[in-house]
Amino acid sequence: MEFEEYAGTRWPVLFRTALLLTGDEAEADDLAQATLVKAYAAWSRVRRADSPDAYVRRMLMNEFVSDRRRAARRRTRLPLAVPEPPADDPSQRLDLWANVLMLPPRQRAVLVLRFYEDLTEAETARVLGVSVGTVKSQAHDALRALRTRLEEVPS
Amino acid sequence: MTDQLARDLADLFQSTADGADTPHLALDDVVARGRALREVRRRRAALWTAVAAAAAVVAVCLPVALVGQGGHHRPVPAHRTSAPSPSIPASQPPILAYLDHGTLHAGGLTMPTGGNRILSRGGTTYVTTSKKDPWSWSHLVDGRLKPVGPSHSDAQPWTGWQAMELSPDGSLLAVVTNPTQNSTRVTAYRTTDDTEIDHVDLALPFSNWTGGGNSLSLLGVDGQDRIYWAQEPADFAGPETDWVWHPSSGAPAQLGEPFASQPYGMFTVTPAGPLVDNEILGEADDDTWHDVTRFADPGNDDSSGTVWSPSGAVYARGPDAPALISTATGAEVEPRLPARLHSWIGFESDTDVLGVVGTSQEAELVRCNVSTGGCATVEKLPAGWRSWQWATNGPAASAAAPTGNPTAGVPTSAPLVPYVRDGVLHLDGRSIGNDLTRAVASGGTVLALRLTELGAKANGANTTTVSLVEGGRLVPIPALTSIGLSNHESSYAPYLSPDGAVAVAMSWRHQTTLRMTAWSVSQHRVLGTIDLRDTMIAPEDIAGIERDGTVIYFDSDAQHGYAWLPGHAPRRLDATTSAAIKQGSVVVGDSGISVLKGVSLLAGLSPGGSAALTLDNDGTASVLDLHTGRAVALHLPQHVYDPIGFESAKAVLVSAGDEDGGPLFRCDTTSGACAQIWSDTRGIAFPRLRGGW
Repeated sequence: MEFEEYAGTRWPVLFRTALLLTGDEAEADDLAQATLVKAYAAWSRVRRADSPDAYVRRMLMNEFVSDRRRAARRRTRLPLAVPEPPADDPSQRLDLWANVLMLPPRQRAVLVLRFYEDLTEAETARVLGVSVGTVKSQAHDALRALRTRLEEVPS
Repeated sequence: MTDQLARDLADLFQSTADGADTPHLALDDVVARGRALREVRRRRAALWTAVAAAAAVVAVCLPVALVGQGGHHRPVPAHRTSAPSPSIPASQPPILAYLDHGTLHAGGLTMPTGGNRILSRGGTTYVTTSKKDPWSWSHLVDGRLKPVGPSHSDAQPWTGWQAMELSPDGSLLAVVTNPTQNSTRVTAYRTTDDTEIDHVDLALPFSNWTGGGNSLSLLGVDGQDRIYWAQEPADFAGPETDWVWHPSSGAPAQLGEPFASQPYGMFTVTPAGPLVDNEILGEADDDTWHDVTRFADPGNDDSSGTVWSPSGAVYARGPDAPALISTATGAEVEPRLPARLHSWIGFESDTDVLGVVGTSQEAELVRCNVSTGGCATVEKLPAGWRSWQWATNGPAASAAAPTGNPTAGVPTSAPLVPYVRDGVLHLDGRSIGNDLTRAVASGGTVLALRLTELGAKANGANTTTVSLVEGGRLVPIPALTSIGLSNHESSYAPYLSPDGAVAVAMSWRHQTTLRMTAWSVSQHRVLGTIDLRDTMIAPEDIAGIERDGTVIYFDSDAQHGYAWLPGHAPRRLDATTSAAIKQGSVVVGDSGISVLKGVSLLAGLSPGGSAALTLDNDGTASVLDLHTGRAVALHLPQHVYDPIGFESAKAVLVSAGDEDGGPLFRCDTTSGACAQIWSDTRGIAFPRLRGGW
């Protein structure tokens, strides 16, 4: 498969995942494009990989957690870009999304990989380049933080 | 609650993703940026490529040198096989300690522990002795387990050892405890007697009770005994901060950039220092950051399988593209594994690394040598091996211990080689010129170089002025002076043949055309020029110059080298046509002997060309006799940074430290004994046989 074909096909998926990571459409666009730029530069390796999708997903996550520019912006910004709330129980959904965006990037990445990409703990660990134990603890910490913060929100 | 929360998250993510409008992808722009990025990486990786290419070609060239020197012809295999190297100790059991379902294997010792955790580095091993008590740590001392730290039965939940890390050499143990529910302590212990070196108290609560994540995450200890951690703010609002603390030397320091932009501890502590973004291996001195090595692009590689040697001199990358890589030079050796690599286990020493090949069901433990890439099977692994827990690394390779007084008989007078200090060339007791940058010297020929930056207004251009030093005067060589197109592209020092008869300069004429000019020192004339288009070569890619002036160089293709006799078209080298280039000449292989002799850098040849000064991947330097193949290791107290070269047939100069400077040593080529002659080489430029500044 040529890069152009791959990029065109996978762009929507990459963008959606990036959106869940960043919580901001412009930033998601930036992140997903930066990932494809790197994928192009390493296309010979990506194409040979057992799973090009897994390879590019890892690049996306690396880019997300390591990009200093985005990290600097994250540090100066509190949750924003709350999406249109779903019809059912909108206030709770809105709170949940706001609190997800407050999580540290790696915890957020774990949640997106586990509950959106539906990866196993081992697959998540491989994507993030960490141990399974770290994935477990990050997911545990993230869920606990969300639970604590949601319980603190007056209904 | 958690299950419901997980379902809510899945629903939220799905609905958010489905509800988003996907923007248009500017594919042409992505491709253009990707192409530019690839170009940058290719340039950055040029040296690495050259090293691999040099290895391939000098496997052909080295026997030529031996024949040319009147020695016996020693056939060297042009094509290597996967046969194990005879030097790999295949039958020796693993040196690394490991825990096999509660049974500890360490240094020939096998003993049940009752526990399920191990922490072992540099020959120092701690294990737990109870699966139920996570704090039941014991230290393996003289074959016996000596309990250390509080156990679960006699401690409050917050006073146990929450996290532990060993230094790479196993001499220091860092432990995180909570003296109170609202404070955290990091303690450094000396492992030789398990006594405290120092501790620091922090106003961070016991993490298990905060509900918001870890208060303090112990990240590791580097080879300088610096302890790194990331800590949450007290109210868990805002980013983590990263800290470094050197026990006994004051308070912890918060790390600045680039750590400050990595607020969630996204860096790895390696024996060589912290690795940020899997991209930069740097050294953090308090909050000051010093780059040590910039990797080509490991950020996108599968870095989760990387293991490091005890000193940090080498790391093993895998498993997708296994390679043994010098931290200092980036030189790669491809391990000749008998089967597909499953994973690396860890370095037994700075020279040997253990890995597992095969599949989870049929796996073998192998040992690979970092210099030769040779691998040998240690043992077949039984079912259940994946649950074994291994030591992180073994002890650093112990350098050959010098006998007697290591400095005996080595004079400590000033260096005899020409060097530039404060812009002035020092040569044979004379001070020559000013505003000079560096000298290049070989075979009695000395070239003085002046690099002039033209500044941003000139688009970063610079000129490299080259002069021949004759009778204490500088004689400009216009033919070798270059006006570059950019700072990066033009700052190339010329290369001298070992006998000093031919100088070769490289200069970029266009972004994609490199002009190589060969100049005769004795005739003061240009021997020839060649324009290489669309090439990626750099001065480091010149492997050597034969006595007839033939230049051996490599392009960015790792498989091929070229022989260029000025005035003629270059010829591609390969194993089958190498006879044409032999001519009984000594070929200087820039890092080329590495495959054959385990050498990563060739600093230069002795006067007469019978010996070579080499630098191994682990930072050890040797003098290699090219007639006999015998190597004399230099007895130095620390790793070599720059193998400067021969002063005479009897003495070589090497410097330790780093790129900013360090002590300068003179070593005897026969005994390997060394003496320090200067404490610091900061601001001093020594001559180089190799190109580049």
